[in-house]
Amino acid sequence: MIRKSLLVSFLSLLTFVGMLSAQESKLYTATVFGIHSDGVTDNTTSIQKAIDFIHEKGGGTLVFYVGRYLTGSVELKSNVTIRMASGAVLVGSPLTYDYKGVGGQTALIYAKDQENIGVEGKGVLEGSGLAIQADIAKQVAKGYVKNASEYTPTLVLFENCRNITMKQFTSQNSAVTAQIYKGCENMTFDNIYVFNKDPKTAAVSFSGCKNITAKDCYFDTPVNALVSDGTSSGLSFSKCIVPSGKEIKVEK
Amino acid sequence: MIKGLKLGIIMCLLQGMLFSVSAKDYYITDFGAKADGVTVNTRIIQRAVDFVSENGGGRIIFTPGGFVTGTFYLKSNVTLHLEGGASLLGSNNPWDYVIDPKIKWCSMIFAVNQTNIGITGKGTINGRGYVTANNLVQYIHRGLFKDAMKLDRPYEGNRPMNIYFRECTNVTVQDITLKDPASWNQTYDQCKNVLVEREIVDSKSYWNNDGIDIIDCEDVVIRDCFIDAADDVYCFKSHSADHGCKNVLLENCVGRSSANGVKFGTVSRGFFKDFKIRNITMYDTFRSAITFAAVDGADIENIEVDGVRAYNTGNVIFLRMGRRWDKGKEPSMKNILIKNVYAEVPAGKPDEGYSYEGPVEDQPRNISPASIIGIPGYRIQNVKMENMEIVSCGGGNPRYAYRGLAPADLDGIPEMIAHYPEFSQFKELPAWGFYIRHADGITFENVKFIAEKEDYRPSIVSDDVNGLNLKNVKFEEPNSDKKEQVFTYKTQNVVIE
Amino acid sequence: MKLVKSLLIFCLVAFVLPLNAKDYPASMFGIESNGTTMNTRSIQKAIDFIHENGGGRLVFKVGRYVTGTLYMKSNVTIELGEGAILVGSTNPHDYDLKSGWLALIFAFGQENIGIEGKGVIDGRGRQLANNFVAQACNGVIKDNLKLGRVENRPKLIYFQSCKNVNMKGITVKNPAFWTQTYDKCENLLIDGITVSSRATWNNDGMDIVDCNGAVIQNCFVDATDDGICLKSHDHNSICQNIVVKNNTVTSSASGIKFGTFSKGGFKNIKIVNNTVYDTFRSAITIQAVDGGWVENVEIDSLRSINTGNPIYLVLGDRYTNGKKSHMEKVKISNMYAEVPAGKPDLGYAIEGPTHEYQPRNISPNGIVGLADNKILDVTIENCEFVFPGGGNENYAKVGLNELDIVPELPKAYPEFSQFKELPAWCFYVRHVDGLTLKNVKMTALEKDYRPAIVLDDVHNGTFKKVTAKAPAKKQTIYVRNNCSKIKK
Repeated sequence: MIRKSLLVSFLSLLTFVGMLSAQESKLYTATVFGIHSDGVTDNTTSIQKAIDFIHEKGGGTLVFYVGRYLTGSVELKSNVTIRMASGAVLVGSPLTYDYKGVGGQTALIYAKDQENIGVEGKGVLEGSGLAIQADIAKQVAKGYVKNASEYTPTLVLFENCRNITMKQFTSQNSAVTAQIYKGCENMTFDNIYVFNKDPKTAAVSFSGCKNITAKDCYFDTPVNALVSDGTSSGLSFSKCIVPSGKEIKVEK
Repeated sequence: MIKGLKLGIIMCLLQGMLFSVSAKDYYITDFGAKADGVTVNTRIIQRAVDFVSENGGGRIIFTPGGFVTGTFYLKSNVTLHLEGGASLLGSNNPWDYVIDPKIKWCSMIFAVNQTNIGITGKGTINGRGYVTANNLVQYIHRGLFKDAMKLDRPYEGNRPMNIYFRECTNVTVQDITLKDPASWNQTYDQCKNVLVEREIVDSKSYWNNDGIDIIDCEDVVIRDCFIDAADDVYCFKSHSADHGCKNVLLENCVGRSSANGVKFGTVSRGFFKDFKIRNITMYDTFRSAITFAAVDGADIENIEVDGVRAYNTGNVIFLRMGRRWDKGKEPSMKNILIKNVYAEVPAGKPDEGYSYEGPVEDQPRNISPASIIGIPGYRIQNVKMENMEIVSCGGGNPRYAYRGLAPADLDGIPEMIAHYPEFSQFKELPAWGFYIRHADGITFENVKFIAEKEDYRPSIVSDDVNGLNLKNVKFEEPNSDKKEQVFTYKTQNVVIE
Repeated sequence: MKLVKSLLIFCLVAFVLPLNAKDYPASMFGIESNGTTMNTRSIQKAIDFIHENGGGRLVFKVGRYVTGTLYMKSNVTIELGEGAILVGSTNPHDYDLKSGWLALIFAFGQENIGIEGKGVIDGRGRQLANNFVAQACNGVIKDNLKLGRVENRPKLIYFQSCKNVNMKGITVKNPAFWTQTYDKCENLLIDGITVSSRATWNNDGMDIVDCNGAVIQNCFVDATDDGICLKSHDHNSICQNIVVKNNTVTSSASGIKFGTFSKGGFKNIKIVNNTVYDTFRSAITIQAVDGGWVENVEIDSLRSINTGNPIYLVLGDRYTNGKKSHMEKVKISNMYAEVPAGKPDLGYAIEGPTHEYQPRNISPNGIVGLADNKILDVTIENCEFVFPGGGNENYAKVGLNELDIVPELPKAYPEFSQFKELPAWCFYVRHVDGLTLKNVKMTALEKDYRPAIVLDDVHNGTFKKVTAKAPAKKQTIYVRNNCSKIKK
């Protein structure tokens, strides 16, 4: 009897591990990695572990269900998509040193030289912009930080990445321009919402990027929604509007 | 030897003085750290250490409160100062810890290749390892972390220690309290000039909670410490065949253990030389109060133990040679002086009731004697025991376990050359006081063995010993007027005065 | 003489009472207060013993009493003294599964039971829920971890088919699931208890299921999920004769709710003098979506402060089992409501879902029946509603000429926000027969592209003294041409 139940639990364990590794859709639930939705647990290392694990297993989607997930910087890796399901919020830490990045810019989610990556779902990336700026200001005042801009995080920072899909999610309250893309190729933006009220920041910035398609986006930002320095090519924006109803115009 | 010791002490003192003069103080809260018991401060503490180290060094002060953290690295010229009431609390999230790629062990506080570092103050480092270890177990079951789960627990190197310093010079650890890591408490590995003093360790939270591990260090002073740990308490190891522990002073220390009190080994590859151990007290100790093991090729030499009180200890002295993992390096053990010892060995389990009690094993056996056990070809040489009183419960019952004195009995005691060394490993031994095998030049002077109950065995049995000197050795055992308390076998040059 | 007589009676009463309600100290049964000893068996023994010996009170004094599942028995009251905490085990396997539920304290078919005093029941739900997840991940507990949670987790209290239940004064906190459920109970009194349930998901404050005769009063409820929740799980039962008065509620879901399970229905319910604040969804929502019958509901003097939605009445056709959901005679009077522009429950642990059903501007009150099944006779009287306004048609828009793009969602899980954008800023009314608004004051703080009220398929409407104040004056009431007999 005992042996039988042991066998059963062993089998179910196998099934579970099988589900983790061999499922066709390759969906990974955040909870499994010990990522907590309670709004207070620091999930930085747990989310990073999840991304690394999925990346090493050949890729898949890390799914966050409804809840608030506090975190510092995480590095996105090839073939991993973050899905913020409806009601799920990735909440940026309010602490200066919780952020890392590339090229002198920090970010909540950053990636360099990766491909087939993205963020999707009806959830939210929350920048905690006012709180993080206040903390950085304190560090500047103490003399521990010289250049505030080196520490002020954006929400998404991708550098030299390819095949990027960003859809449906909302970015809000970023301390600087909400999403920054440098030297990236083949990017799709679909139904992206950006809300930045305080501090006064832009929505999306491109430099040296190629082949950008954006549609049905809504950018509610106090300064110009789009920042582009003219070094990008192949931009196609359709039905991307600001609160006044105007469509965003891009260089050809 | 004494000269080297003195030099080490002076260097330590000098270094401490220099520190207090030049150190600039920084408050960790100024870097944004929160003592709320929730915020994970890892990255803040790391930033503070980097900043202070880059700006000429100083002390980082932790004010009262609980600072949660994962792994961070201490850097040169930085001292962590924990004020009374301040706690560094280990995060319970296993992902918050790093297994150092070079060291291959996991720790909350690492330092690698740094100079002039320290941890001071009356605060506490609490690993909160029980929960962390159990959380790690869950991840292992989920397939997220690879571990063989030997003995149904993660490998000790995969669980975070409190402190691991490697190849550091001028290390000062003073006044702090260490608690409850998921693995060992504090490891000093290939460090030089290490001072640990006035430290309290309270650690019975999970398996392998060693008190202090000194691995391949030179010029070490440990004094005025109190350590209560689930595993070995004052533990000296040699992980590298090219290194060893040398010039060590251990004094005025108290220990409680569900394993051993003062131990050399288990991993014992290089050497243990020039030790002075004095005025130590061990109580409620499951295994040996003092054990020196050279089982992986180590040379043990020039060891002086002066002043031991061991109460309620499972075993008093265990000296052991072996050949486990030595890859051809030949072990040796010689010139050991142990004096001024008082010890009591009980009938019951000495660590009963403590969390993470030692495992009852190697049964059936009556109470085990102190022992000096070499192996054929590798003899323990020149050991002197002076001014000792060992009170043993006695009461060995031959119907429970029996080892007689006939040649077949004595030769039948297994050599166990490649085994993990433990005083109990041979199961029943033929003496109640002392058992000696494969040794040269063993001296007992002014030694008294007391058995509280009648025992079927003699007090001392020697087997394959060259040179056994007993000067003023006395035995007390109920109803034993005509009993021969010393039995020699294959022993030459016996002098009894 | 009279005095002597009453003294005599007093003495008699004083003498009789202790006989009936003998006090037994917990220590008598070896129950330990150290916060670590598992007391399950000794507490159960105590309850059984007291039950078998004519009843009485099991008295816990200051200390932490850890336990797994317990079963209450007739004529036993648990008295939790000030400082006494009944602490739930964090081991999932310490909880029994009975009648489809897990709970810390069960009672089935018992009479004269209760839990009273100034003490606490603490479920340690966050740790417990995490341990459930761990066990599910290891395959020991069978669960597909939908939404990353284990579906069935222990409640603190589950009483079924009990009579004369008294819950007084205690604090119940941090369950791993709902806080307390009273299912098919009769004569239930919940008086002066504090619910503090912010541990994890689905922390309902209290669930009154198919009960007959219940008074819930003077309670403070702080819950991640619905605060005070009346339910009907059984098509052949009904929740009836219930008074909810003088309570204060805050929730990251709805404050006072009928449903979601609404199979039998809700009848003769009075909700009097309650306050709902910092609440993510509706202050009051009545949902008849599973074939239940709702009749005679009176909501009087409800204050709704910083709450996402004041009123949401809805019919649906979900698990109706061939029945037709029904709602009639709902009266809301003397209500005052303020709706914020931001998220009402911001900063609470386990907040309600941000940006749900987007894009939408701030949602209005909703009274929404079905095309073939109208809500009947709704009265709203002497009420004031303050909305933030600010609806931006470039973000989300339903024009008055396109009201049909608002979907009919009879099968959906009902929430005030489920339709996404709605075309009014204060009241959206659809498929209703018999609607009276009398002396209703509406204010929008910022310019909104929508009118205050939109009526779509509404008949027999009466509007008296209905005023709307907004920065840009628009028409107050838009009546679509499929309405009839609307008197303004």
